[in-house]
Amino acid sequence: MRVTEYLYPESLEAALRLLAAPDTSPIAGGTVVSLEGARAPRLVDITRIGLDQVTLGQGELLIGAAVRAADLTLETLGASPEAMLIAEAAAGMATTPLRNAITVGGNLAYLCGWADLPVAALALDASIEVQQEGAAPQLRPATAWVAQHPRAALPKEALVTALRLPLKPGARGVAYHRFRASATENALVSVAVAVTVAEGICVEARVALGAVTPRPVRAEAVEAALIGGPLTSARIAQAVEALDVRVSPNFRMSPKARTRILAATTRRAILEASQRATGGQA
Amino acid sequence: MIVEFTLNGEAVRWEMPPDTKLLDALRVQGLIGTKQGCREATCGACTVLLNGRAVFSCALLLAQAQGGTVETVEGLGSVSDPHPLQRALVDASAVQCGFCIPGVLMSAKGLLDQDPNPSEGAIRRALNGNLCRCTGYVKIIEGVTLAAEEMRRRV
Repeated sequence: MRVTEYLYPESLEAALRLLAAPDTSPIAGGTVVSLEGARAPRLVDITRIGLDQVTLGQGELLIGAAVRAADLTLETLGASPEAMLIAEAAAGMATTPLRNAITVGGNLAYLCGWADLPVAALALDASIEVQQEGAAPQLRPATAWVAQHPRAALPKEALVTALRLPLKPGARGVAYHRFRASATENALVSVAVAVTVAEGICVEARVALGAVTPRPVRAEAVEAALIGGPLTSARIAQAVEALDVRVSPNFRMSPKARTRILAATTRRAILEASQRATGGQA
Repeated sequence: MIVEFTLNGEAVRWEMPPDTKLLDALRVQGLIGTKQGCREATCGACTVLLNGRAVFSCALLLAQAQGGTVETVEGLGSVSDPHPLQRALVDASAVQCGFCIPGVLMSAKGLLDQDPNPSEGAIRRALNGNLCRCTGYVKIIEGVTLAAEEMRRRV
């Protein structure tokens, strides 16, 4: 679609007011707009309205929607298992020039099949903050976010304003693993894991899978099999046998091969997360 | 629309349609050092620096540069006075057909501006968006390493 107007609001309020008008859509990193065309003739640039901040709050890490993927590092996010998972997910995302453009909000809102942040958000029990003019900020849990594409689930005037990660207590371990044909290609399999261990027993496990289905999913059967016992390699291998995700066809690789790779990648990711949670004592 | 920004150190004011890609804007204005390769954010031939960071100019609108700074290969150096990166890539035999080189140079400059003494891993990572079908990358990485050494000597 032809772009007829490009607007630079200077505050979130002004941006939301502009987005409430018809035929208007947001632009941040610009990769989707440039490569696929604009969704509306009026574009609102949301990179100059203070959404590029990372805030460490009470038990929560808030990452602004305009933060670039390249800035999702432990230096900017601080040290926590949650920050580590986001940093690992972002570090392997696409190529350096794309990481310099891609924003948190864009990666969440566009929700392409191989997007990394939605997978990490799912494993971290995160919420996506959405705002629109004349309404209080809404928090949408990551599980709801991936259940239906946000483009269908949200009104057109809504803007993703932040990714909010609860910082959970306890002995936590995380890991983000992917499989792809080369170091910079889209993932064919991605797995995000977060586990919590108490007195040698796994008390919480979240295993999120990306790139294998149209939108990320949780491997709930695997999570259930992990909880309630020690995270030994034998128990992890057994839990992964519960994987029941139907892998979508992909022109690069048969579903059969990808299903096997998914199982191996999932097992390795859980193993690494477990070792991190227990300091290698598992 | 009118977009005002700093291009290779000089203030410019360009009037173009709001959906003009930065790549097209540059080339229409005669800055043809920035190459059009895949036009889909894969090959890296169009890499420029926006506000000091390497980006694909095929995946950006000119409007996004409003008030910012853009650096292209034209701002690096000239045949008579090459930038250390340009000199080093030639010395390392890292240039064959040359089509990818403007993008490689800008990605490398984006790295060296931030990190004057990068590890080989950091160089590889900085260049992971630039495809070269001639060299196999080894010479390019050697060239960037050489340039970094030379630039540290000059400081």
